Amino acid sequence: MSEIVVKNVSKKIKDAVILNDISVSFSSGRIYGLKGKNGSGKTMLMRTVAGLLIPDSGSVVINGKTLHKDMSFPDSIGILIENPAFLPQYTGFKNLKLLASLSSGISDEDIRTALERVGLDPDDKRTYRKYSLGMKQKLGIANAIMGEPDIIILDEPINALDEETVQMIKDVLLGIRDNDKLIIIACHDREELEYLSDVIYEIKDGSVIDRKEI
Amino acid sequence: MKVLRLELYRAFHSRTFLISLLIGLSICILDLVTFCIRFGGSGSKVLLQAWIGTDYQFAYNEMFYVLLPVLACLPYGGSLYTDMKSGYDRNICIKTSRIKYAFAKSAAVFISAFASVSLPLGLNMFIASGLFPANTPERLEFMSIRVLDRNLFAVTNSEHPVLYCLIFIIIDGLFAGVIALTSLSISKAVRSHFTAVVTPMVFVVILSMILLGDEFGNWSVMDMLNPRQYVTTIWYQMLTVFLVILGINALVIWITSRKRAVI
Repeated sequence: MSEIVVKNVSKKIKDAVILNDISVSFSSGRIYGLKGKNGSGKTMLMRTVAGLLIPDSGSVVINGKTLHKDMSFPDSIGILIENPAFLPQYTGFKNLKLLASLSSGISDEDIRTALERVGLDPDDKRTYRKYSLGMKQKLGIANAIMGEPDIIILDEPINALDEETVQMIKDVLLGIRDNDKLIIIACHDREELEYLSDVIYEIKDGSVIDRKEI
Repeated sequence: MKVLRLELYRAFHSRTFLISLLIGLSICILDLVTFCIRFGGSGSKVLLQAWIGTDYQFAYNEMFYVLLPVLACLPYGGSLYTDMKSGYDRNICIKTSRIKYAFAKSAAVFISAFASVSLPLGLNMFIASGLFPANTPERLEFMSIRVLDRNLFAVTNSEHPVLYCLIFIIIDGLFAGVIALTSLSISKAVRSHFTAVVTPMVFVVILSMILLGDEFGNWSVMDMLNPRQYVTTIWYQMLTVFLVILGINALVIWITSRKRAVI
């Protein structure tokens, strides 16, 4: 069971206001969609929740612990923010194995399962360098869902994916949600976002302007 | 520490580590082969004349010590820049704190630099000690190392040549480590991997020219690392330079990593 409370968070980068006194909350067992134009602040909000960006003011409280005060990073989180980034000289499996070594309790079997769930072959000997755009995206999603962390943040996860894979990913995400996990997702495709999300926050100029239950 | 294990694995399995090691080994092997072709049969040469660190008959010694900063930075020095540029650091910073990541990265950079400089020097010494006796060279003989009584480890040089070589292999490795940390500390400021790797060499060369040693002592990094010791270095100068480079780099890495926005 996870709960994230973002309280009055503001962030400026080089005099540009990225997040403007934003307050939102998320709880497990639901998928939250973030809607907004490019540069509205969706990705920055995701980064802030993931602990990658330190707000100038306000706080992010995860399960009662304040980020950057009581903890440096969320206890159990998987992310895919912007482009997936992996080591080009290794296979998909090896890349995930290296990253899994930073977490406790992710076995080789969990890695294989994550790869299979997104339609990648765990025994594929091709290195990441030789992956197509879609395969890279799938590996990014596999990395985020590997070991089913309590919080999953996905920024434009269905970009570069074919229809069949999009359906596969949607089923995977809905399955993970039903396992009482918290998912935050940003997507430009309104239909897909509404299909997946239980709650949609609309963001404009770094502020939440609307909250809609689906 | 899990992140340290990951960084060490990445450092020692990188292609750049292999390239750096190959460059260093090539110079050291070429030096020894050239020495053997020229003097191998004479039977009067000793380890301190054949080892690349103290051999001043050929240009390989200068080549190795001029390239030392690049050999140190090449293996893993530019990795923080690459991680930030590609976004790989996002994968790590959600699973560990920025400070632990910076510490692990620094340790991996330091150790890989130490290895890429010390291994070629060590291998050269190992082979040379199998071919030439570890006797003290005659002081007045041509090609003898000019380590005088006022130089560092002068007694060791005379009485325990192998130990003298080992001491300098370790000193050079340690300095390679702190020089490589400079690549890390400038990672946020540079715009390419190449700049991150080459800038420390530029720093070392310029500072060494400015601080060139004289009879009163030597603050030049390039000169003090060379076991030939053609410029006298006093132990506290070496220690001070080491600590200053280490301190500045550690401070910069700490300040820039602590609250870094992982974009």
